[in-house]
Amino acid sequence: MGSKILVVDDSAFMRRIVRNILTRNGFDEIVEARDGLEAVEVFRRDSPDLVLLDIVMPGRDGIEALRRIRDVDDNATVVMLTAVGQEAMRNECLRLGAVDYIVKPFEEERVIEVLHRLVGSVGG
Amino acid sequence: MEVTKSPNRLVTFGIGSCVVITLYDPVRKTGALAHTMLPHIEDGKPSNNPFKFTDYAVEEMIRKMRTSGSRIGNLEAKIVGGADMFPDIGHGSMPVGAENALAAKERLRKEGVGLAGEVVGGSVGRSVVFDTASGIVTVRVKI
Amino acid sequence: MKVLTELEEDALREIGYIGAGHAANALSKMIGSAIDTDLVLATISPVTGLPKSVGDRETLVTGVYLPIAGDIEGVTLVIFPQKSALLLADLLLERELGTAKSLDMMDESALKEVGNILSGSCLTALSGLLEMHLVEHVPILAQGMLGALIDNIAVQLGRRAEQTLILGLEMTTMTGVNIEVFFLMLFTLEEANVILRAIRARAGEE
Repeated sequence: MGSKILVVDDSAFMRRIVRNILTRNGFDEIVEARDGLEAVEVFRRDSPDLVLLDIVMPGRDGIEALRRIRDVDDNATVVMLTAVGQEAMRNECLRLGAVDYIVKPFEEERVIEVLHRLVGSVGG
Repeated sequence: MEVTKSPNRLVTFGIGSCVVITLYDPVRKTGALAHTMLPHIEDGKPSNNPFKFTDYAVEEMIRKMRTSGSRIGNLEAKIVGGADMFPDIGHGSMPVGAENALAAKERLRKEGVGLAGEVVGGSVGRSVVFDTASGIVTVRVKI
Repeated sequence: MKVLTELEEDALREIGYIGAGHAANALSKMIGSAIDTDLVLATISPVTGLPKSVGDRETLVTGVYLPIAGDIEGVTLVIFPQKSALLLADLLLERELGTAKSLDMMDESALKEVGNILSGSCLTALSGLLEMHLVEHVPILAQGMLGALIDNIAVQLGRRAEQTLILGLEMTTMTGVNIEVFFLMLFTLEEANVILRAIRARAGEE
């Protein structure tokens, strides 16, 4: 069985970019959420193996979403998607249990390296 | 702010949340135009240009027209602008554009000047041409 | 109306080059091919008197507004003249150039990301100059007359921005497509002094 990935970002464009990178590399079980609230709902419903979570969403949503996801499952594997200059928030997320972060704009190799390390090679 | 005799055209290009208020005296064929940014002068600082504030500018326009011979009862006012170009920004209270339009209307009402027309609100930029010979205000938008 | 001396503009230009470099790098990653970036403008001007090259008050543009926080509370605006906005959307969404005649929701989302990233590039460079920490928030997009967008932004947060820093970038893709974009950072007169002092220090005047 392949790994299921949840992509959370308020930008439809960024979700599309990440989806393209994932499908090009054989990850085809992908679910999406637009904000923190939807992220927790989808996480509960679909139990993804890994969550790619945007830090800057309206209303401190990224950090809140991280908290709530880890409340649902404290083994949840969450990787933050951050922009340049977000060091403080990034460190807060690492403290709250995120396992890694990837900086926008994404380099495909970096995204895939993180995914392979955390969820192994793709199934499917 | 400008007060002028005709024939003359007063023009303002590309207003967003700002408002343009025009005053026209059809008897003497004079007009005035003000282009303001913020609604209330008491929110500003002494160093700010007072004519950027809607309530102050409207009051001053009316005073200048009156001292140059216009009768208040003859004056026709029009308001253009007060748009919200970024409606997705969550506004706690009223957006500035709406506040400007409201401040203009309140001040005109207080001074007893009639509002002959308005093109306000929305989220489109506008340019205004005021022909002081005819009193006609033309509003231009670009999409 | 010149706010900066030539020496000060040189100092600001140095910062602009750094920002342009970051921007080129980031944008290349986003469109998947190399981009050349030229800094065509680096100045500070009154908000009511923008240099002609940015456009005039009725020029149709797409603007991405990003409030910033940190050591300066401010407002940044990334402006794409409409033609550049459409070309950039085609590039980002891998369509034949000239396809887009208007922006749909996905195009807007893409341009917001570019605005986000460009603003981040310029702010990172400026943070170095100002030795300040500046963080951006969620981007918001609008289209319309340049004057109208600037009006709205200048009064955001209840403050009147009177001056703006402007960095103008001209980007050229490998296939020779030209895209213009302007990064504006608006501030009040008080904040302007902080920024001017930093520029003067960099220019060796203090």
